Amino acid sequence: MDNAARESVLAGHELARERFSVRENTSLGLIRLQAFHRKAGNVDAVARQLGLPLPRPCQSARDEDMQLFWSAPGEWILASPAGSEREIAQLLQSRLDNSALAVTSVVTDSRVTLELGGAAVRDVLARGSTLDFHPSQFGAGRCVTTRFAGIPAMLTYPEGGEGFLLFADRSLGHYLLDWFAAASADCVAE
Amino acid sequence: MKRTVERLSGARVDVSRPLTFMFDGQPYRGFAGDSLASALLANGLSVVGRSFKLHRPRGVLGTGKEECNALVQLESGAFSEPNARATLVPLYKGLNATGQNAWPNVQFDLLGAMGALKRFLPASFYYKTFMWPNWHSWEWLIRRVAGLGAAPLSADPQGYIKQNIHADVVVIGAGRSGLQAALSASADESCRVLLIDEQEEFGGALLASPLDADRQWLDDALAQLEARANITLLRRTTVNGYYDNNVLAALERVSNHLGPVVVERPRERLWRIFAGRVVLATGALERPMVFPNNDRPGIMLASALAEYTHRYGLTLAERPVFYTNNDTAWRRALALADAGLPVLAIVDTRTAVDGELLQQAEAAGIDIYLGTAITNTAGRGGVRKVTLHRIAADGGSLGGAVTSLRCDLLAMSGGWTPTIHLYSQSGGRLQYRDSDACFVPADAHQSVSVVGRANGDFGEPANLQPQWLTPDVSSEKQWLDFQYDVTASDIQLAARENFVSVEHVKRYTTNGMSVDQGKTSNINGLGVLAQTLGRPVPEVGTTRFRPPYHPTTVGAFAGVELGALYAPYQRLPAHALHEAAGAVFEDYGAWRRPAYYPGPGESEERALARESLAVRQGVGLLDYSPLGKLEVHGPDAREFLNRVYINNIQTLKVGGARYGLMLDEGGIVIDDGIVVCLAEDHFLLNTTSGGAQAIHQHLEEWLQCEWLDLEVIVNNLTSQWATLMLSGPKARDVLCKLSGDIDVSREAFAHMQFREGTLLGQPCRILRASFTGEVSFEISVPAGHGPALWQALMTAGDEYDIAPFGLESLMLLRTEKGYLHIGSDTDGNTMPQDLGWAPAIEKKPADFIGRRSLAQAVGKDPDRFQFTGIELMDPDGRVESGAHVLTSDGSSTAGYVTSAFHSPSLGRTVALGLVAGAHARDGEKITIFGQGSKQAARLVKPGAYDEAGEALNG
Repeated sequence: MDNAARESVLAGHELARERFSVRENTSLGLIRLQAFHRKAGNVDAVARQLGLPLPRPCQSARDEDMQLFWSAPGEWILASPAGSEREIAQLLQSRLDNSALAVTSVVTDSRVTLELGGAAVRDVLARGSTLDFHPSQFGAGRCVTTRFAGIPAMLTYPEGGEGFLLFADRSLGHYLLDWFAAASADCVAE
Repeated sequence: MKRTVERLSGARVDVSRPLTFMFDGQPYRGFAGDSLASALLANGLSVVGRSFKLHRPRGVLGTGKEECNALVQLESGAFSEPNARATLVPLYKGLNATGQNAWPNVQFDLLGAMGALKRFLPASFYYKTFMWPNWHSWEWLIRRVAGLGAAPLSADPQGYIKQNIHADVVVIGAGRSGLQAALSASADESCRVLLIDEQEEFGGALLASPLDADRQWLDDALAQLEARANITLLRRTTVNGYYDNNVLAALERVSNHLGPVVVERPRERLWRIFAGRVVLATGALERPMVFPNNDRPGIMLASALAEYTHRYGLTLAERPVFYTNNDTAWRRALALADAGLPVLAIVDTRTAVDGELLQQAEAAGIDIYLGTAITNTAGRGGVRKVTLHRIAADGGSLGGAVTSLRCDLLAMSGGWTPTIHLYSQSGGRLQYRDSDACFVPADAHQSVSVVGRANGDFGEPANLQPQWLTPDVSSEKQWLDFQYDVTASDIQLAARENFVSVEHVKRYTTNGMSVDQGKTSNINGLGVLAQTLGRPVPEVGTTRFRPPYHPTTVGAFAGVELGALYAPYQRLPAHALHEAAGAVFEDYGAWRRPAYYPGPGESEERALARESLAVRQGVGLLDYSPLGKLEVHGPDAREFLNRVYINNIQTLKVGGARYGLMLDEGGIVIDDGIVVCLAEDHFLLNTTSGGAQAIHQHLEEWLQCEWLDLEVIVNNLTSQWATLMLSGPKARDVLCKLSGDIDVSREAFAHMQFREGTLLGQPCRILRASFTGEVSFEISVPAGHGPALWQALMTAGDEYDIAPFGLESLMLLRTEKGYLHIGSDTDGNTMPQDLGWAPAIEKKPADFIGRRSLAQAVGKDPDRFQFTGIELMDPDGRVESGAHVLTSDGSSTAGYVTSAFHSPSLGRTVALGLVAGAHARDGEKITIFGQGSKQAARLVKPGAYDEAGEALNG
């Protein structure tokens, strides 16, 4: 099985309405970085050893080709161009000495990454979550892990991006697409 | 009711846009801008509904939420909606409504004869009446008569949506006070303001004002608001609930004013509102006067008459009489006269009235009756005559009859009740204001302010003198709750029977329990109760205001979470391939998994037989991807797992795998699985399928709340890997055909071992464990490659007639082997000793979660339900899981069958169960009761197939 045999979650299924759209993003390789955070100084030590600008809670950051998303206490998702993540994960793991406990693991296949766009995108998001999606509250660089449409999801509006990115468990990809289709039925031309 | 021939000028209806509609099968005409109620009144319909209990004829009483009479069944079939308030339904073309609670129709209701039984049907009659011989002998009759309106029988074709919104300031009510609050809050551009109003258009009571200045002010205010970017305007939206933390719930009627059509927009939208500060500008509701036969059609609130006149341009009467105890009705009467309409008389219970009002009324030619009560009304299908008596100086008795007036409409005003429902829901305290005989907001509990009439700021003095009921005449027909037929005499009866709490009186009499929840009847009922008990009104207190303020459609609460979206569902990586292979899917937790793959015309039982025989004799392939895969890292990982499992993890070697049981603190078995030691500080936990999430949370809870000192990281990688189970005597032959660097030979890779490497060029993990009893390889590759691996194994297995098998076949296979399935063969009481694990626990030196509970007396009861095999004496017998195992005397249950299948390999039924004291009863005969019949069986050791367990080592 070469890499081309890898199947995306939605296999080309997408949603395109006049004012809202959902498309699967397959261009990102994802690494989960977990640092033991219940010990003082451990997270700082991990950041120092990795040489990464680990973002603070509910924020994202950028480091050259890599986007870094805070996803939970002591946990980040690192997104790099698809295909490079295995090598990067190994490189990062090799930078860690034994003084600070941290783990990197490739999680590309476990996630579905959805690009959400269109004029009504913030309205539709407000149908799946109680977060405040007003631009003044959810602007570029924000990244939250929350309950969305009844499932756990990570939502971010990346710096320089054109819309939202939603990360969820791959097994829920089709459910999410169905949910978005139902919840955006009115997002047709005004 | 007089039919309106031509609308008054200045009315807010568009007479250039006539709309035809149907009521009770008859066609009528109204205009755009009409409500159904105004259109019915314009057509001269006096009787538009029937009361609930006595089927008395009912006419329009109000103009909005307070309406308790004009309830209609709107539309039909799937679009049908019961109890629609005609006052709240905007007229649309083709609207079709029918009156409720009447046969054949509201005009000629045969059940109207119930009215004659009024004396025999007082409050609570049903508590006293339907006792003999018992309630059930009456139930059939009550169920036929009870109920108001009919719920649609088919699914709602229209859609609903739920949406959240945040705002710094939320203003509820867009009358003058609300508009002023919204204008002032939104002047600060950084302040996000939300303005909500329940009417079709903003303006509140201003919409009914005959004054040009009011209309101009409204237009200006709306123009300013529309121009501001920081304000969101929600019309047709009723705020129904006010909860903690300034969270509100509101229902927006998005498209139901378009009628029974399916459009892209939802019919209704349920808003959940997160407010920084709330401004309540919810206005006030007018109260009826309480007097004999005050429920006759043609008797309406004075404010309603004003609104139907000035807003809808109706001319409802030629001889209207006003009846009041306060000044506001006088102003209504004068405004009517100003508009050139006739006003016959004002009857006022007060002896003295503001001189200026008197003068103006006299100048307008209105007859005035002060210190006078209406003591009766008459008229069929509408009020035709009222009887007047002078009230004695003490206010408690009547003098002689003054006169009677011929009239065609009676407009009443018993004072004003501030709409403090939401304020009260927010936790705000109320206080009683004697001068206006109403409750007004006192101390707020949340960040909320109340403005305008909702706050008791009525603008003009009302000089109200309450008269809770008419003295010196029977209270039998002095109506309080028009919909539920509650009269002042019912409240008095309740008080006589020692119901003194206002909450009890409400339930006993049903006063205020109707669809409008007492918006017009509560305060009057309270007044009557206070007077009867001889206690002041504030001491009696109000009933509790609870959400919803106005009924909310259940569909709006459901939103899009219906049918296929009722709950989130999870799909396997190779879902499309299973679908193409004709799999029958079932939900296992949230996972949609193949249960079996029937061939053309093949039954479930035959498919299970074919699939399981393929695994026993050749090879089968199962999508096992939901298998939990939790990785545990860290210097304390081994210690942690040793505390989590009842098994000894300290002795598990790198590369080795061990079966383990997990308990909760109560000693109850919650999970089983295989623990693999990948490195000294790195373990892989294969939890039960679908249990990964819950077990992950269980582990995190212990790490985050109890054992903060343990340096451990838990990583849930369940869905990173697609896992396929290749099982059967030919499994190794099939796997060998795929290129990879893992030696899968019998010598190199034994049962209960784990290997990592590559397969077909991808990272791969293989565990040799067996849940079928046959040689099995649980092969994991990155999930995106799952479909390709499935296809590669199916192709490689072609020469061995490989069969895909589903979860039901797996359950059959493991039941044959007597392998436990947590959740099927265990319940919320099962402890490890019930599964035969007592000796292993004895040997483990270290403590583990749940150990202490196992030592309790309950854990040592010899009659605990214990895991066992069950063999039917009749080789052709069948049994289903759930069947009871009876006690020896047959009088009770002593356990039950937990798993049962017909085994094609053994040619008989195999079953497992939880049975009282089973471990000491091996071989004992038992009786099973299931599906209404008994059969003989005996207890055996689990594992009917391949008892020696050799097949899995092959």
